[in-house]
Amino acid sequence: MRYATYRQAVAAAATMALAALLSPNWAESSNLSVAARPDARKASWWSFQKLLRPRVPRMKEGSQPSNPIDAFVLAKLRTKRLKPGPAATKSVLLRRATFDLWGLPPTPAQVERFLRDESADAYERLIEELLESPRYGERWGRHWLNVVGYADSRSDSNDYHPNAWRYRDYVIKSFNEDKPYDRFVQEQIAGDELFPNNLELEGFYDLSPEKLEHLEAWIGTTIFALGTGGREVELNAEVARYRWLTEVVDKTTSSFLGLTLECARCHDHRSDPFSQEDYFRLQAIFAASRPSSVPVVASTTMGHRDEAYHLSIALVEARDTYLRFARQVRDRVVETRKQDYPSEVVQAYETPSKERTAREAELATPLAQLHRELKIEEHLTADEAERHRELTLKLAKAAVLIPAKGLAHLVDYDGFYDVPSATVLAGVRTELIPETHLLNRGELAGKQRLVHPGLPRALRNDSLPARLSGEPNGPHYRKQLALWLTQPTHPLTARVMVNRIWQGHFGQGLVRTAGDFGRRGDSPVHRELLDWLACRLVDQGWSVKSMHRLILLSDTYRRASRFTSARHQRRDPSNRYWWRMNPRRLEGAAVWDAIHQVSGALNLKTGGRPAIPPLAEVKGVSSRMKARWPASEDPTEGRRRGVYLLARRAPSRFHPAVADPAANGCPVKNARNETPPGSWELNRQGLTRQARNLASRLVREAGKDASRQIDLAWQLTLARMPAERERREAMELLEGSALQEGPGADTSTLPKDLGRLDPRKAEALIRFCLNLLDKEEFLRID
Amino acid sequence: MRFPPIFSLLLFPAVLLAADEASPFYEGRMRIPAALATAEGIRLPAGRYHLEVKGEAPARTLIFSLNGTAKATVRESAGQDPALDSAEAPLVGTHLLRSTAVKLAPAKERQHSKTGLARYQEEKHLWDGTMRVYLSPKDGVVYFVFQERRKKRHWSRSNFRLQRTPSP
Repeated sequence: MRYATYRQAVAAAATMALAALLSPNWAESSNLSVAARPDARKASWWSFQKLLRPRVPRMKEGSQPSNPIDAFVLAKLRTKRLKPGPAATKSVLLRRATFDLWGLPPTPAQVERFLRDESADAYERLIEELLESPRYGERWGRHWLNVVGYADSRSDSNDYHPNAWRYRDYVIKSFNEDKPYDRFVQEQIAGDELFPNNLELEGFYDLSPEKLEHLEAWIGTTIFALGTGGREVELNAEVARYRWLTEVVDKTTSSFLGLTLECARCHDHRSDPFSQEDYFRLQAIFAASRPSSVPVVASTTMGHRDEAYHLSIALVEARDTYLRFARQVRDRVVETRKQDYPSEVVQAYETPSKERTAREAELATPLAQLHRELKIEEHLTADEAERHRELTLKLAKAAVLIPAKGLAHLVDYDGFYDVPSATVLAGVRTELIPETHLLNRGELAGKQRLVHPGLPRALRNDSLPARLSGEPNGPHYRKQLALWLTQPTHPLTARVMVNRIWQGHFGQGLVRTAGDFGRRGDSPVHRELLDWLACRLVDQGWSVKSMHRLILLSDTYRRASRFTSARHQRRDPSNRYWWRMNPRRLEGAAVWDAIHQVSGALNLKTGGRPAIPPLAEVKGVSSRMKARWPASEDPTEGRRRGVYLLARRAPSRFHPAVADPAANGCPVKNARNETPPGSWELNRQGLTRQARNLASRLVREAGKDASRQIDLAWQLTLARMPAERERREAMELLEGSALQEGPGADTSTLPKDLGRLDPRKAEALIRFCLNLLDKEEFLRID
Repeated sequence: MRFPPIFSLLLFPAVLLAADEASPFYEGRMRIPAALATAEGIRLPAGRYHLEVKGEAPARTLIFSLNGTAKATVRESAGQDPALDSAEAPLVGTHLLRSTAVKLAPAKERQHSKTGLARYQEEKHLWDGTMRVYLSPKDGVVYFVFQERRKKRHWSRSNFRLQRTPSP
């Protein structure tokens, strides 16, 4: 595209938009009612204009930066008569880049290799290495999952989405493979409609790569199947559907468009050019779909599963027999205890439970509880013990005989015996699509006129009709929405994504309200840079990794964060012109991962069902909660990266520490999530456990010499050697703590390597490690 | 033995063709939702085509095949085309084209999961070759845009121009 200047083009586009909106007959031509007419002033907002490519600013001869990002930033800094800060040191840069791309601190080996490498392209090669690692997808997948509010549960209760993890793995895989962002969007909105396929075999047991690729695309739609609708809501299908559609539209507009369109559910948007009708048009698009479970394996795998049907019957029978026996033992024991209770209690208990009055139910509670909680193993007679052994063995044998995987493709069954499946979006038969109405104040009871599927008037260009039409083989409205969203000049899609990438590297986006590109949001200082980056994203095949490369190789990214001057502080106190790097606090996920990484405990297993770490023994976690929390049997499972831990939605009224705040309903997510996943575990106990692991690692790798331990501790946590003063203070801490009165650490409970130390020295080392893990520099990216 | 010059000229395209056959290319399948026509007037009804992108930019060719038979070959567009600027309405989703340089394992090896995960999870996709299709609504020009990610992370792009035609 060729324009005299970017500013002229933008001004021309805004004028055209205004003229079109102010023309007397535009509303008629667009099939919009007068009430639904967006305000022209609102529509002229910069982010609603078509994406145009600005020119890279030209500098004086010989001073043109090689990276266009720097040219944009320097040009703006000049207008403020500011100079950029100095470059960061190599060790700071290494730690920054590693956290940014992996969410983990660099290992001492990485630090040493990078600091020794004097070649000109050392940094460039480092970035390539970081981008090629599977850790990258976990880090940036986590960012995306925060954007869409991913969780494994509907609420803070036990109402899980059993297949949610497939979407989490899909996102991580997509980032690792550098799937083009437009395709990523298309798959999530309409993977089934754009890439329809099946899992039928073609003459052999092989599934073609194309079929597998298309199945993966379909799993992208799982994003919309992970709603918050509780079980009670399901009792009224219309309410449940409306609630689901509301979530779907809010998620679509906030995640892909960076808009707060949810306001328009009840009234025309106060500040942005979106009418209530626009909102319900989007609901009408999704009304033609519903979540559905589909197998992710070929039908032969299901066939093989069915061959074990008789074994599952045997298992059920063995279980029933055992339960009958257990009940008989309980009845017998309770019978002998009845004499210990008042007669009215016994009488109430002996009344069949369905016939008890409320008073009787209350009276019967002690005996009912005894019956329920009795450990039968402690009350068996000799004959019963023999029978118990026999039945337990039979039950175990029956369970073991159930095959663990499909014989056709060696794919593990999901859970105990289920064929692996995914919960995705599927189309509804045309005649069953529910009508969508404009609702007065967003209330379901206030139905007004019928609304048809369509795109927001202020964002769609003239080539698209106001009302989407169906296709001969189905409505396929989502397909049209996905294709519209991924137009190369779409006003928002590329801008919003580029801004999120920038935010991931600088702590703040070029538009500081990353979740609100509307008029209430931030007006960026570097709008030309944002637009140029968005065009660049499109030009380079919507490659997210290419965008990382471009940003991380710029001088702007490589600036020191600690630089400041009175002049800079006066003219640009909040660093909107990017004269230095912003120091940032690590987000929650990175804190969890970093602590486990430096302690040497991090389990880098990838993918699969969520891991459940143990609950800590803290106040506020009731025994009821513990009963609902089956921590993973394998202790290493609880030490996996945060992205793989069970994520429960909603800030629980009862257990604020066990919910994932990123999964909450608020669609506007401008800030990063700073609460660690699995925060229920990462409290004092969890932190102390990791401090002990770190101390043990120091002894294992650096021996008993305190000076070497301190050096290694600094390298592991801060990716640098300690300064002389720091070394002295650390030594004083270690020696001072070791001299304190007290028995020291209980060596019987310590990890093996730490157990070799004197208990008081071990205790001192643990305290030292605890201090390091709590150090502000460890929890910050410079 | 020396060929007269005229024989050399006759053999030259054949040698090029043989080299072209041997060198890797990108391929994939695409369901095209609208009837199209090439500049030479070859009509391509809507349907599921096998696409092949052969050669190197800026002289790539795009071959449309149906049921194993090549239906049309379109050469890469050269120079600036105003229609390209207005071709911004995607007709289909972004398609992955696979390089024939990356050999697929035989079906016998592919049938079993190596890790116990479902096969789609084990399948790796190299997004080095993609095809996008854009329509210019005002003049009905349809551009097939092929992008290749090359070594050193550079991108090459080839545009193939077709025309939308009314369905028969």
